[in-house]
Amino acid sequence: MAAVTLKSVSKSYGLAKVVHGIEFAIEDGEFVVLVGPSGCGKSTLLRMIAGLEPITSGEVVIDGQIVNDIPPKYRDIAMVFQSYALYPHMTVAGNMGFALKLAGLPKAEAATRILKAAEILGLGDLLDRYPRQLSGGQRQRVAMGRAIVRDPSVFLFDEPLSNLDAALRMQMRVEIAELHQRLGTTMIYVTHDQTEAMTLADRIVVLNRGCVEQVATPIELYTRPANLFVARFIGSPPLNLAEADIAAITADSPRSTEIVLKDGTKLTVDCGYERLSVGQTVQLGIRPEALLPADDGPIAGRVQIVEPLGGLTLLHVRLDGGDTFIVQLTGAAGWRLGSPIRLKAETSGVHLFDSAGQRIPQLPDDVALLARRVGAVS
Amino acid sequence: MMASLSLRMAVGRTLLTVAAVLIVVWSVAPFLWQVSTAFQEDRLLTAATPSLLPSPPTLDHLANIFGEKQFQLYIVNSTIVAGSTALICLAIGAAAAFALARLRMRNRFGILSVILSVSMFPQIAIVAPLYLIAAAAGLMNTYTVLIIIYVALGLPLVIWVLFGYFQTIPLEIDEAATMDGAGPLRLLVSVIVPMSLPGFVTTGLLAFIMAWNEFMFALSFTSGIKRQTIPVGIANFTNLYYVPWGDIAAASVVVTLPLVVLVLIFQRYIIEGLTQGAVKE
Repeated sequence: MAAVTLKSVSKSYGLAKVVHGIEFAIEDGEFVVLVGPSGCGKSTLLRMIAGLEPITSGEVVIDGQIVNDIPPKYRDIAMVFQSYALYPHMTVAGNMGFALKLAGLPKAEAATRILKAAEILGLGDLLDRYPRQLSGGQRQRVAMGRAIVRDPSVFLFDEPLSNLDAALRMQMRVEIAELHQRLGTTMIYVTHDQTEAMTLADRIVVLNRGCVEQVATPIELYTRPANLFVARFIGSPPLNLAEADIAAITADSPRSTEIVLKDGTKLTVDCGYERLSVGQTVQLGIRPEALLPADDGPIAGRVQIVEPLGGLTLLHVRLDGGDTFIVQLTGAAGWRLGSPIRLKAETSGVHLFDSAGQRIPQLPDDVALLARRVGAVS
Repeated sequence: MMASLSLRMAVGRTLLTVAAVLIVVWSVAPFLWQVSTAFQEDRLLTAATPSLLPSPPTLDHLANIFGEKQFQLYIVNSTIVAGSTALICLAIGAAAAFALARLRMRNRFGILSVILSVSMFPQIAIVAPLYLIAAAAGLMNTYTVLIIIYVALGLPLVIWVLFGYFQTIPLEIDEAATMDGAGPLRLLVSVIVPMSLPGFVTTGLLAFIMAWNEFMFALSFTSGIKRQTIPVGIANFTNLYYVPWGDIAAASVVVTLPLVVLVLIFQRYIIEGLTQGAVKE
């Protein structure tokens, strides 16, 4: 097991800089997910940690050792690829044992390790098969088995589930989580799927255009996104956004802040914010599940689309001012298209962002208060 | 409407069949004629009305070429030269194509163009200089000189075909092997070569056939039955007064058979090799 630290890691292809001075530390045994849209540099970053891509500047440190110039095979890491990258001419056992053979491990010990890994992954009966004789999920398991047998200090996963269908993806996600619990090895996982990121990670690194937007636990990312990008990227359905002005701030207890949408709708949240002034224009973000139907709710609109998901129902509500908000309700409430609706917003799901897109944080004691409230609800 | 459509389809299919038959006849007819000639008596070959079916058939020509003309020695020579050429071409070509296709290398297409340009020299233009070099090196009338020349002539083709073949293998396979601890040589031998077997069979056969059929260099650099290859041997059948068409045809049939057998054995690989990468798998 090993800790991994990235110090000002950059990558350029000619004049094009694709990764800009990335800096974060991964603790020993931690499961960290790198997430971001296509082209954000997450795979490049993973490949630089693996040693498959030279580093333009900065340092990658694994287990206390700078590995910039150390070839992949000496970094004590294993990687699972998106396309599995199995050797088609070797059996499952051959695929899993290839690294051990190259490392000169005695045959008996290699066989023991292969059997043990096969048992963990439920591949015991398939050891003599060739990759072409396996299903997608089985191939994925072999790819993981190939990594496990080496007993590396760090596992790297490059979008390992994106070639699988939805049901299998969910199953494999659980298996990877179990694997991490069982092995306790440091894992770095790249995905563009926020559900994978949220469910698997101890901490998530959100990347955008080669820069780190935020490094935090999944819940922290969701409840305190550092900026508009993170707020929009994390959460499904996405955060509802609207431009608004600050109409009034009550600084005394009980604190409150009055926010006015462009159509004149007034929304009051019972907390205060740092560096916020009356008259300031902000981006108001409200999580879909923080919008609740209420007869006296300040936000008025009409139901435009109803998406029943079974346990949840999504309502697309067109506000009188023209914006569209998505409301997530539990249960299958009987909403009809075109019916008028009034909504109120839970303060815990309301986020304000300044003109630069940065989060305007709530006052510290309000944060504690909100956290208690969220805790009580959940 | 439907009737006219099915009529048009029937006509189209008939035309296609006729065209296919014509092409097959066009390609196979000379070979069939050759086979027929190999089994005809000499007097019938010059008869006013030639016949496709030999009557009576004769094995005289076969007996002639193996008895009197010791054709088996030419076959041995050709097998040694063409076999060695194919193997050496594959060994060198695989290493070169692997480096060009899979390793970080600058200006790979520049290098590929230079390699290709080698095969564009008119062969007649290089016979004389090569003759002088071979004579100075004491390589005249050896297998070695033919193998060296054929390898040089065959390599561009082998490198280009294998290069194309290697490029169809996903790069992630290399990366997986690198992570598993394989260096470039191990990657080539244990992963890329086994994955490219159809490509090797195809290119190996192409190199073999090229060397098997080559005439001009073999004629210029060898003398005497101990080193001459099949094409030169067949040309030697003709003497000042007489062209032994029957013997020539028999020899041609005998030397074509190994190629036909090889192609039939490896047919599956060849088709796979020639179409590899044409469609996304």
